[in-house]
Amino acid sequence: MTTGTGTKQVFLKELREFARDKRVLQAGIIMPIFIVAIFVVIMGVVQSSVSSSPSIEIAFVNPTDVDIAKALPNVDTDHLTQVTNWDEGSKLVRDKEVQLVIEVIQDEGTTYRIGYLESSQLANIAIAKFQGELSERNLKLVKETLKENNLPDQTQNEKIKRENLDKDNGLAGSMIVSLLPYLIVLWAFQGGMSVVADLVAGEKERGTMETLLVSPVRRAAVALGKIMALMVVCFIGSLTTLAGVFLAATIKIPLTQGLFPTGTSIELTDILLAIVTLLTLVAFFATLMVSITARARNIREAQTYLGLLTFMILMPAVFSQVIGFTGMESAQWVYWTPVLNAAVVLKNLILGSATFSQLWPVWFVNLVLASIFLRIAMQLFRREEIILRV
Amino acid sequence: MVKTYAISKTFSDGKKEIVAVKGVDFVAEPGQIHALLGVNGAGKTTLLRMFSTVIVPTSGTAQLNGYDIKTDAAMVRQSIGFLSTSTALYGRLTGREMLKYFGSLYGFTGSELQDRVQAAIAQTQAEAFCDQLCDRMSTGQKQRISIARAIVHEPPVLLFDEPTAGLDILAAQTVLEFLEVAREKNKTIVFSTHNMNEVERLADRATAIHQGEVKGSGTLEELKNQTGQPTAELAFLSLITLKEVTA
Repeated sequence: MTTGTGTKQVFLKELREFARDKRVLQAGIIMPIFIVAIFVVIMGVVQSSVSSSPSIEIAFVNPTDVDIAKALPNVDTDHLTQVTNWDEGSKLVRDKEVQLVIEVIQDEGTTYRIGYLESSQLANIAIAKFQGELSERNLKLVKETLKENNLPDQTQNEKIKRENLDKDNGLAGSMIVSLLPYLIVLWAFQGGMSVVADLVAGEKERGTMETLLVSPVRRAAVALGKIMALMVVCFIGSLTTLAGVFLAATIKIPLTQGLFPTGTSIELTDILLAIVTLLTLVAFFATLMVSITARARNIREAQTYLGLLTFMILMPAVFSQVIGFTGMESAQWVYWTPVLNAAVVLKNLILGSATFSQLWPVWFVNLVLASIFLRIAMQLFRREEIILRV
Repeated sequence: MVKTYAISKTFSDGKKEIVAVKGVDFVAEPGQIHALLGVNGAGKTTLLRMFSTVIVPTSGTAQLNGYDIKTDAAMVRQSIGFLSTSTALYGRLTGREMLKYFGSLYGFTGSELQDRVQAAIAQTQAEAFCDQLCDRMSTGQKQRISIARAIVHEPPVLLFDEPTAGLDILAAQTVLEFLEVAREKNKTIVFSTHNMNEVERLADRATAIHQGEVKGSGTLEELKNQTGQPTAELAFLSLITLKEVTA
């Protein structure tokens, strides 16, 4: 008879229990797939709405102004409303019956006084569109005046031709790419959170922890076996996100077709690097969650701790979605910031633009944190409180 | 054999200290059932938890099957079968899977593991339900699987902490019968209880503990003679209250 370390046995037993736990199946696998799929459909709706140029309602203060508006190219004259004064137009804006009220003030030149709600995204789109149309009209007028007076046209015929330099195939061509890393990180954490309270605090509460610790298995081996099993659940949770995206892409419904103009493929090297990144991330998550729940007296206390932890994990993950607007995306500190670094690097991997100088800090940070929390978890398992604090 | 050497345990929450066990000495021999008698909070569970090495004595020590609980904890755990009312089963495993799991934790593999599991199932007469999920078992069935789990590695020492508390009469009977059979197999058995009927039926020797201290130890006859009481129950009451009890 030998005294085995027990890690493998604990790991396999936990996996077997997870496989039979409806919560893991429902909350960790099935629900994320469908939630992400539904999310992708919603994204498809948003994209198709934006690209189909929503109608913009504009109120003009006097008939002359309406004529100016009608003269603007590409403005739908069916959506122009005439009002008698600025206040009436302002009320329509506040009542959200129109997006803009425009009054033309003739002084030394022409001033377009535009009233709108800053909080209205459609109003901001409308102003941008109005400015664009006005510039185009002014240029046209200048050209016509020059031509009428037989003067040389020295205006530059300048145009903007937009070209997307992202990879021309795969998910890089999809607007979902900015959200996908966030979802992957989120579900890696959520997947583990659905079971971790039961994994440690639940064992304490039910009394099975004492049964286990009376056996010859080393406590460090128990902690390690549980962490490894939790890593599997976290990893599956993150993969469900991709499964949800691919499900939405595979089921060809009109709402999602515009989301994947260049398919859903990702290069094999990038997939492998993403897997390595995810493994280091779930190692960090699993050790963190186990060390926190090992402190809890019971499931309820563990869930309270985990609720606070979720908030701390979510903040950098949410920031990863908007970091592109800040210009900080390529700053080196981003790749040293836990959670944020993984989300940004996963996005870069999907785009095919990740570099090793971005990847190694992410792996390093995650592994260092995983080592620290693994040590904490093992120490907590060695303490008497692991069975006494119930 | 179980032998203690002035074993003590003090818990501290940083503000105050609670002495749960104070200098306990007793010996339990193979082939004997040794009862630990005490009211709730007397220190019985703490004492058994120290024997099982899940908590460490503040001072003193104990030897189980010749191994010291402080210096040979792994070998002590290999030598004991532990059962208490607070120990539970894994609801999503079947009884057989549970036994295989614990057998593997004791280092058994392959056919030896299968044989050990089968023997434990047979010993506890659990053949009819051992392939059910533990969550679907009755209390009595769960208790049989718990006993099978405690003996799957055939330990020479059995530590049972109030093993019949909360059980119905049939389930409790299973436990008591098992202890009698184990005694015949020359196991060293220490079990804690405050049920004096069980003590009268099973115990070869008993140690009365109150507020963490031993108040008396010996055969039931010795305890009765020591206190001048006609029954074990009255003898126990006399020991823990340190006064004469009227029958």
